[in-house]
Order: sequence, then C-alpha cells, then structure tokens
Amino acid sequence: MGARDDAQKDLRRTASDGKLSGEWVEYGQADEALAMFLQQVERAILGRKLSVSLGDGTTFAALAAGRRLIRLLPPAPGGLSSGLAEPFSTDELSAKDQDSALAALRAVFKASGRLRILAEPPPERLEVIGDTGLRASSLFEAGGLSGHDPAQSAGAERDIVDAFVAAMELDLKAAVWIEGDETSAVHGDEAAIASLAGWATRRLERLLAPEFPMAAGLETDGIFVFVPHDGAQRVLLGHLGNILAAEISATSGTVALEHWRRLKSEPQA
Amino acid sequence: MTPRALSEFRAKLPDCELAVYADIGSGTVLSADGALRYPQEYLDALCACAAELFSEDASEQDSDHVMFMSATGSRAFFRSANDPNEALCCICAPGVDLARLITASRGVLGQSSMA
Repeated sequence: MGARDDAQKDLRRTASDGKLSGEWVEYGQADEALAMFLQQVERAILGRKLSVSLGDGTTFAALAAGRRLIRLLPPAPGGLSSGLAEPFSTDELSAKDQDSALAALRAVFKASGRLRILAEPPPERLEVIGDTGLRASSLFEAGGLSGHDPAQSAGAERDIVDAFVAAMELDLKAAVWIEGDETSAVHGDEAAIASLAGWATRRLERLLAPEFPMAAGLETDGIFVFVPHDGAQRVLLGHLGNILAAEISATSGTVALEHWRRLKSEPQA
Repeated sequence: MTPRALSEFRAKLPDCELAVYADIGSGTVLSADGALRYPQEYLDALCACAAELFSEDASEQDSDHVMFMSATGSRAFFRSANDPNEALCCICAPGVDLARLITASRGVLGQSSMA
C-alpha cells in the first residue's frame, strides 16, 4: 500500500471519528428490522441522525433525540404510496402520527434482508420539548415488537459506569449521572454534587453542541479529563448517550483514564 | 516552538500521530508535525477544540491540560504555562502511554518558553 493509500485510509478514519459506523446485519422478519431501528432511537439521548440502508438499495434517514423519533427525513423511500409516505413530510412527529409512522416503517422494512444503520451528529441541534416526537418505548409497545427491555437496557448502560465509579472510589469526591435533562446524584455531599452538576451542565452545553468536533465522540463512548494547575480534576464520561460527571482527587486523572481504558477493553456482561 | 522542536517531541512518542502547536487566542496553527500531511481544515478544527476546552468561565479553575480518550484514539491538549494563549495538541493511538505523553509535553513546552 502506497503513501497515498495510507493517507486516504487515515483521512477516512479521521473523518469518521465519533460516528457509529453501522455494520450490515441480516434480519429475518420486517419487525426484527423495525426493532433494530427503534433500538437506535432508544439509544439517542442527544440528537442523532440515523441513516438507514437496506440490502435492496432502499435508504432513508431519521432524526432522533431524547429516546424519541423526532422526524423521518424526506425524501420518502421509493415505492411507498402517498399515504404511507406522509410521515416523511411531517416536520415534527407527535403522538397523533404514531400509527402512520409505524405503518410507513413497516412498509419500508421488507420481509427479510440486510440492514445497516449509521448514527451521526444531526445537522442542527435538536431540542426535545414537551411531547415532541414519538417515544421509542411507545413505538415498541404500539407495534407489539419484541426486543425492548428498558430495565435490562438501563442496567447494561450503567454497568461500565458503575464499574468505573467503583474503581475510582478512593479518588472520587463527587459524581452525578446525567440522562437527558435529568441529573441524579451518584456520590458525594450535597454541596460538591451541586457544584459539579452546575459545571457539567455549562460544559456539556458547549461540548455537545453539533459544531464542536468532538461532540459525537464524547456522547458515544469518550472520556474527558480536565486537569487544573492544582486542585481537584474533573471527568466527563460518555456512555451510550448518557454522561457521568465526576470530581476526582488532584492526581487521579491518569488513573481515571487507565481504568476507563481497561473497562472498555473488557467484554461487558 | 520551532518545527524542529515539535518534530523531536513527536519522535519520542511512537503513538503520537500528529502534534500541533497553536495560538488558541487567535485560532492560528503555528506549527504541525504528523506522520501524514493533514489538511489545514483538520489542523484548524483541532485548534478550535483546544480553544473551546480551555475557555473556562469565571467559576472554573484554568486547566493545565485536558485529555480525551475514545475507542478510536486519544487526544491531549496542553496549555503553555508561560503563554496561556498557546497550546500543544496531540492526536495519539488509544493505547498511548499517558504518563510519557504528559512528561514529554510538559518538557517541550518548557523548552519552548526558553526559546
């Protein structure tokens, strides 16, 4: 391989940094593919654009945020009747669109075939306000689909975070878990938690903005460690769309990164 | 920091693919050394990342450095102690030796302040 090929390979890798590069997967029934798509919606806490490709050449894209399907982006896949294609021209889906959106998605996913879903930052910031969009959990339920187990999903999401918190225990001063707009205390006294949560909120407002080049990397599975000249260090750990913010002792940044690296390399239960 | 100093710094770190020295106040890339020739837009984006990461508000302590790690790689940003508007940005492999990276970065930033 020549230097030019090396350069192109590296640039492609760099350009895709932070994206979830979907792999082709086989599915046996339409509902199986629909469930896989909705699982990606379920994982989208921050805004994501989901680009779906099917083995027969059909493609479509959707915007998801706050575990909700916000929009099916035009153009609608070819072959849909005008009625079935209507949700693809709806600016913002809401509860009244649930049945038509499900019908459209069922019409898109064929009886069997191959599917690939690419998740990437949305073209613009998505705000989830009130009843905006269709909850993934509601779509699973309304569609009578299997493959949605919120308890198991939430548990799996927290496993690596809990393991990180446990590994950092002696160096941990405070920690909060941020899931969408909700922040919950994990460790520390009230004052330390309030200070940390305020800092994390201000920081994440900027670090998760679509224009910040490293936003997607943080959201999916990255970890930031902020090391001041002296005093406590702060951590932002992203995992499947949620964030753990932590304050750790002054010399523990490298330790935190090593723990995270070890935990990520271990197979998750 | 001279291009030669940056090149010598990177030569000590086999896992460092790209090192950029930048004026984050003006958003200007001052020097870059990489295993590959990266497009200017990419270097500018890295410089913008450093500027954002070091843009603390009044309630925060200034960061000496910020490390980021993901499954696809590591990035490290070190602010010059002598000129807080200047920073060294590194893109490294996921398994980079962190202690060595920090020591080498602090060393080269110290040298540059004396240059």
